[in-house]
Amino acid sequence: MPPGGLTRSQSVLLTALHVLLLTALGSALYNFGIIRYLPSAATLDRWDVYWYEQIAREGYSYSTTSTSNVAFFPLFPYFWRLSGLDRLGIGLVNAGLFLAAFTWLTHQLQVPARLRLLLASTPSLLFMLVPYTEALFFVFATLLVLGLRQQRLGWWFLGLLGCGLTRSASTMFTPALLFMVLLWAAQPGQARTALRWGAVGLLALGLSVGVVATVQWQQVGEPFAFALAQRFWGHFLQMPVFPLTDPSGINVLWLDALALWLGVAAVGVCCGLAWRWLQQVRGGAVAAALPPEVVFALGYCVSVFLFILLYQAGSVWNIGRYIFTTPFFVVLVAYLSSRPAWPWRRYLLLAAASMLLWQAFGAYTLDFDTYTTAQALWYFGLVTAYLLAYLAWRQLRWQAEVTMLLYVFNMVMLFHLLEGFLQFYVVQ
Amino acid sequence: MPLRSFQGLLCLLLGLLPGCQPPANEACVLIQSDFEQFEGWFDPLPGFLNAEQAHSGRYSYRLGNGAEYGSVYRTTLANTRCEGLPRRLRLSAWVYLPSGRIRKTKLVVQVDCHGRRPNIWRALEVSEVVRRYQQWERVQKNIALPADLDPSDELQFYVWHAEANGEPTWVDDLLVEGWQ
Repeated sequence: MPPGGLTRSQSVLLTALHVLLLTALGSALYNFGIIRYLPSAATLDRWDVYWYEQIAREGYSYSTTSTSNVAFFPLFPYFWRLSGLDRLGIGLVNAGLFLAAFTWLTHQLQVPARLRLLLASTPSLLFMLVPYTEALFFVFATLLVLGLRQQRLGWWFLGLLGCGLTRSASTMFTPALLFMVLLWAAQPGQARTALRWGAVGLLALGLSVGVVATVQWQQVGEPFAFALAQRFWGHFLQMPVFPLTDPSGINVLWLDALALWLGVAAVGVCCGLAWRWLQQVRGGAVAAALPPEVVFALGYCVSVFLFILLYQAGSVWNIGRYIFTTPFFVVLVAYLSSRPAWPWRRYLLLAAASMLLWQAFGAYTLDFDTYTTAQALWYFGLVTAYLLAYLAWRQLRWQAEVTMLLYVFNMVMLFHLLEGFLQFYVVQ
Repeated sequence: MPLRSFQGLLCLLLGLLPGCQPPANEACVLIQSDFEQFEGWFDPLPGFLNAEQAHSGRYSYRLGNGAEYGSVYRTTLANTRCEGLPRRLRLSAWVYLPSGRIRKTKLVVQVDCHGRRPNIWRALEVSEVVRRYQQWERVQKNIALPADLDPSDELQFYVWHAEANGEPTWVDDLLVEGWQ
């Protein structure tokens, strides 16, 4: 049986089908006037595209008093420069890169066909169509994930290096890597292998930071300009302010809330794994190991969650983009879908816990502006239902129907958010 | 079943429309304006007034391009029609946004305590909650107040365009109510 029940050709055809459905829906929505904007060189001139384009055209510039382009990492803008394409062209190249990496990843992870379509429709993937770093990051992160899974040290190294040159990934990756190595090394006979992978990983991340520092040192005279510039974007260590807010607004909040949920869940699972590791170190039984790519994905979600919570003063914007547009989300959903079915009471408990978590947004205290408590309850009730559909997807009786419903809803949301982005609305 | 209880139950079960509000039998009005009352008293009219858009009557409050702050409405807590000092406020208003490009725009309620205690500053971020443009939308925010306010404390309302490069915002039928 081929991976996920699909041959390589079938995997490619499935992605082609998704592109066809996406195009069909997009063209229908556009022709009927439900969406009014499509990506073009003019409409893609939005938000961070300005900074990437500036680096691509003029290189780095640094200001010690205001925002400047040194906060952005070099691989994507220099790739853009090398391509010689306009904004629409590089957006389409991004989309192609993402689709190729997504097809490869889901094929290797043996993700069931329906779940592949569902994952490909994730609304946050609108950022794969614009001149942002998401697509390139996805490609390299796929390489590191599959490197871990197939025990290819070269892929692991290249993946980490590429991610580190595309974004400030080393901040998020280093804790995840150390945690993964810690658990891996505790497995019988795996200590040397785990340490070797850890050392190679740290080398790749260190090298990426070194390259970025050298490029910026040569161009602006300050090797750590990328770190120093963060404060002008409001990224500095600070206590979170509750209730949490989302400047992207109510139509993105649900995605960011779900990413926050995933962050909290990842913290819980990682604490459980750490506890189990501690018991093992104290002479307890050796517990069954999670695949290293799953541990790394969990560690990444924890790092993003902590960064958002501790560096954005209670604003959760970008958390959905940082989590849902990465292979780590695919890895976690695919892993969950391969697990045995859970008893339904577990879902009830999860639903109740999730509804409690939404209080972080002030959902039940009249702090959820403009919404009454009943309205907030309805809003977050729907978010919880959406979440449960993903969690219980593998054991749903009407899986095909639910998948179709979520697929269409996700794609409509993707077009809606993309249209907002193209109009210069706040969509992050 | 008393009508009010029935309404409450209905709001709890089906309260998905903005009409469902907490019971307001003990509410008192601290600030109320439909911005119509200035006509005839001022010539020319104050700059924040305009007749381009209005939810009711002819005039509304407008914060234009490039302006960071709108005009400030001030009153002391003693000057309101409340019997005692409120412990909770509800700001409600109708806003008109031309598009999602208004950027950060806040309806601010501030209680200036003249250094006696830290001021209270609460803001409703309009750009986060309004998703329908070129039409009037109702917004509201609930604000809890501390017990140690003084009748001489000054209640202020203004619009703060934190990113003044955004598009203009119109506000009408402003209401700030208080409860014990």
